[in-house]
Amino acid sequence: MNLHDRARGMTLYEILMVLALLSIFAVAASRLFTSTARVMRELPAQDESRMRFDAAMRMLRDDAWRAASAAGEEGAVSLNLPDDVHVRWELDNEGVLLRTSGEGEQRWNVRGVVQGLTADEAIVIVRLDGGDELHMVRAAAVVAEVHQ
Amino acid sequence: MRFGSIRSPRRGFFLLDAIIGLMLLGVLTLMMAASLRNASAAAQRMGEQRSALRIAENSLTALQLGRAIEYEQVEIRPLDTPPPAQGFVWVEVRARVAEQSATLIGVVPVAAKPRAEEVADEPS
Repeated sequence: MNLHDRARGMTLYEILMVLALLSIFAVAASRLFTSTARVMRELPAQDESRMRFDAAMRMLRDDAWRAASAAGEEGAVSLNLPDDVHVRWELDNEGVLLRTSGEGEQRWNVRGVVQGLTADEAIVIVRLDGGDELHMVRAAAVVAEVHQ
Repeated sequence: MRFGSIRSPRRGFFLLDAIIGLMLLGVLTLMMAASLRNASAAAQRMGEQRSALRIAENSLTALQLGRAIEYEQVEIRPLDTPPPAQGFVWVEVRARVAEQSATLIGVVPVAAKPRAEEVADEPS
């Protein structure tokens, strides 16, 4: 009888111990799983967004470099390329970067990455999220700088 | 006595099983935490690398246009490579953000060369 009582008491104690350990583990694990799920969900979207941004900036940089002249207003840039090609870059309210030329229209969703777009006589300025800027120079402006 | 000999091993195994199970879960949790930390560190490194590249590009643009360089973490070194056209010179622009750095090589007007040397001489 004594043995039987001891066995029952110990089992309850063991269960309480295991429940306590499980509770601690469950709290830690749930936080970790939440973080992991968030990272796994966000990483592909961030990669895709970065690739879209890089593709758009590559084309804008190329346009800016070749431009004979540039004119900027808030949110849009007009570039005059050789052979009378006129290109307009515009950032709309949805965060979509739009390139319009005689060849048609191209769009890149850069929401949350690009905040603004403008230009002065020498550079195209892309304002980025977080306050950074990206400056893209016109080759003609560099040549003009040499001749000054 | 017969009853106790049957019950005792079961009681011992119950606790031992639970502890082993929790230990395995703990190991898995630690592995997941480590991979999460690695992913965050990689994302941070990539962000720093992109910032460095942006700073290098903006600094090169400033040099090309004879404008002031707005960044402190930039080293500029004129190169001895023959220039592509008269009035230009090759320079190497290196920007550093935390542990990451980015290097760009470009042509700048000759007038920018003394400025490039001044920046290169400044202690980083």
